[in-house]
Amino acid sequence: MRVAVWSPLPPSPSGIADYVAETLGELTRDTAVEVVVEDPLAVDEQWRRLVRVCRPGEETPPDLDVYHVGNSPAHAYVHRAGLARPGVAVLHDWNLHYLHLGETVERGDPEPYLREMRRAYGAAGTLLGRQISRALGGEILPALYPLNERVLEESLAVVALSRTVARLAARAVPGRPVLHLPHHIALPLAELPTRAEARRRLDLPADALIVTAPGLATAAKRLDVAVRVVARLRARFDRLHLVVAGGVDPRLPLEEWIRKAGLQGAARVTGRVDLADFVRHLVAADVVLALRFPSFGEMSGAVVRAMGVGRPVLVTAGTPPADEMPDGTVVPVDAGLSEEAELEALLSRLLADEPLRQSIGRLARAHVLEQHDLPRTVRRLHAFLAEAHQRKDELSAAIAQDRAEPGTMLGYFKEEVRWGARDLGLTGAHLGLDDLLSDLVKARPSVQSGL
Amino acid sequence: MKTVVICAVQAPFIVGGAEILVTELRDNLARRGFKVDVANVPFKWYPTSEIVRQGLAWRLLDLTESNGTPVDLVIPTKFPSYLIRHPRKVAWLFHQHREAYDLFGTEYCSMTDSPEDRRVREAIHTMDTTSLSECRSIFTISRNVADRLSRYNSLPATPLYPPPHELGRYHNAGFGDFIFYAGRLDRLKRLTLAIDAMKRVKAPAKLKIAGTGPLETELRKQIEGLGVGDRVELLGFVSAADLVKLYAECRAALYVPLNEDYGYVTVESFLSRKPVITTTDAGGPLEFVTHETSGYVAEPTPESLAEAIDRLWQTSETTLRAMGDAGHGRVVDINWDHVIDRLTETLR
Repeated sequence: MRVAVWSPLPPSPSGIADYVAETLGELTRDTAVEVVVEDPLAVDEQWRRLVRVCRPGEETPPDLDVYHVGNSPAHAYVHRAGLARPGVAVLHDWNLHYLHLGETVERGDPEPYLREMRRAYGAAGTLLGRQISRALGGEILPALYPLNERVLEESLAVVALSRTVARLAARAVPGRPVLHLPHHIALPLAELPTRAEARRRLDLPADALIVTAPGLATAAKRLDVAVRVVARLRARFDRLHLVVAGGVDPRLPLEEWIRKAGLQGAARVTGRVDLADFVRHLVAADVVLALRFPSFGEMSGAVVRAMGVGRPVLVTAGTPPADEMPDGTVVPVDAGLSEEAELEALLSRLLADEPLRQSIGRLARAHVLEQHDLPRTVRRLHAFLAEAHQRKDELSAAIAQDRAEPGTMLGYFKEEVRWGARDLGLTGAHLGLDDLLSDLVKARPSVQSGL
Repeated sequence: MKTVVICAVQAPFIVGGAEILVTELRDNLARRGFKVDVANVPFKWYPTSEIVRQGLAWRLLDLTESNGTPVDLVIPTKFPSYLIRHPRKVAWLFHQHREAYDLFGTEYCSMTDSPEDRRVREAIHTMDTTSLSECRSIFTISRNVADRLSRYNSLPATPLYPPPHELGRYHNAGFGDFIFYAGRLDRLKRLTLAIDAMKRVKAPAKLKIAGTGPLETELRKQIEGLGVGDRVELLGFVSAADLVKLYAECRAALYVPLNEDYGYVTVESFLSRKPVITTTDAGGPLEFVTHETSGYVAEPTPESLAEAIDRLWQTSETTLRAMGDAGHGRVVDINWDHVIDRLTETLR
């Protein structure tokens, strides 16, 4: 089987680029793989040595396309290709709202975005689309409207990295193959350092209590809350430090929060780090903080890695990491009004109790190494791809049925009617709309006059 | 017995001329021996983004038969009922969705020039042209509606005037001291223009307005503001008997809508042998009113309208009677048998 994998590769800042790169070694054992990226020359050489990396349109005609779809403009070309030539969609996020916004509104062209909102959510979509496109939606509205309907409908099969997303996808496209593939664990160090070694390497204080927030700092990571809590807890734990191990969204006033809380001497913001140092930061931590609200349905690679190095991880209740990891392997924090108090109480308890931290870390590591093992997950993926390939004709025919061509009057009419069915959860229902509506858009000879 | 289904469009809680006309069509088809029923589908025309979907609802219905009984003929009436699919479809078009046509770009239109609204407008044009062209015949309630269909959709249609509700009861009981309007109080009827004119009228003329509608409060304020409370009277809802009496006793009817589809006021007034004052842009009424023969056609300004009313008061009763008779001659042939004959001729 020849597979074209559509995804950015390192050093792209997308976490999905790392994810895909980690799978290539295993995947190429049984499969001829090419990776399609926007700029092959920018890809790290180690990956170019492993597989053929090419631009869109330069790939050898594959038996199957695999599209790694994420919620950022870096994945726009993948999304476009997935709609043009159905394949297997690997959904790293359930919600693709920011991908759409980046491709449309942020380029000064809101119309395709408004049409997509209308197509997916009808009257509410029209109204809310206008609000969001004028930056009046806040963080919550985009989180509530995933805008993934088209990619789901146009995919032969779907791979979800969380059980939540798999369940939602199965409901959205009944009858279409859906695989829940646990997010694999990959630690790019031949041998894990000890905590002390990691701290030495990273120039972190050896005797400090360190709370680490990994990954790109965005508004959803709740770092304003974390900064205030850590500042207060320093009254009890005077060696407490906060490390933000990753880049910072330029819109986020993180430095100001740190200054206001009086945490300047006890906080470090690293900026973007390579994967090896990223893992060292996780090892160096006493507690890892991976809050996320609103959630976009993703299973965080940072959470899986932190668990894999045996650290207790605080996650937001109701998100896939909290819901899908076994009890006792992560520590959920409610995102409601009590979030700050709950975080303070849980963090205080963990910091005061090293055996408890070790116990949670051991359970987390054992679970991840068993269930999220890289070779094992790639084997499952490979088997799923083989099944999708086998059923490709049948699945392609199902997609072609009732497809509404964008930009045409017939497409517009079909989408207007289909929304009613979609709203009832009948996404996969065949409505026979071609027969009912195609006459409406045909040019007609003049009518017989009543005269 | 031939079966007929009238396709009606319903805005729940609103009963206007179109709803009454559908009822009368149904009753007259039944009177002529057809097995007839009305298919009513609700329609909400706002926000603009919803219009296309609501229209397409009609396209999804199957009215070819009902419980095993074939439907021989469907008669759609107004947008979007004519999207129905049927092998024998004869439209009696009350009106299209005018905001997508002649009202577009006017103060009476909520559609904008945004790409979203343009798409809706284009869709309405497509739906109208195609679905109406499927008809065996297209009749319209006036020449004005037929002209719009020809201008915007290049489709020929035949005017087929609907008879007014109290046919056979209209009469002339003399020429009183008031002019009369009956109908809904909404913006397109331009009663504000008529009230403005009354401020300028020199003759001892009064204006009586029968009907209810969304503009009632605004009109009361205008009457009070202009100080014409002693000359303009809002009667509210009046019974059918009172309506006939008001036509019988008025000096003339006043009817100044903007590009009206048809307008019962003209026909009812002429059947009562009373002249009609209207305006050059009134649409439907102009198919019947001839200036200085059966009424007066003024410019759509308060000054011009006031002048026409003053002229009416200077006109002798003999001349008024002659104008009323001339009008009567224009509408005397409007009757239900003719309407039913034309709408069902494909069944013969």
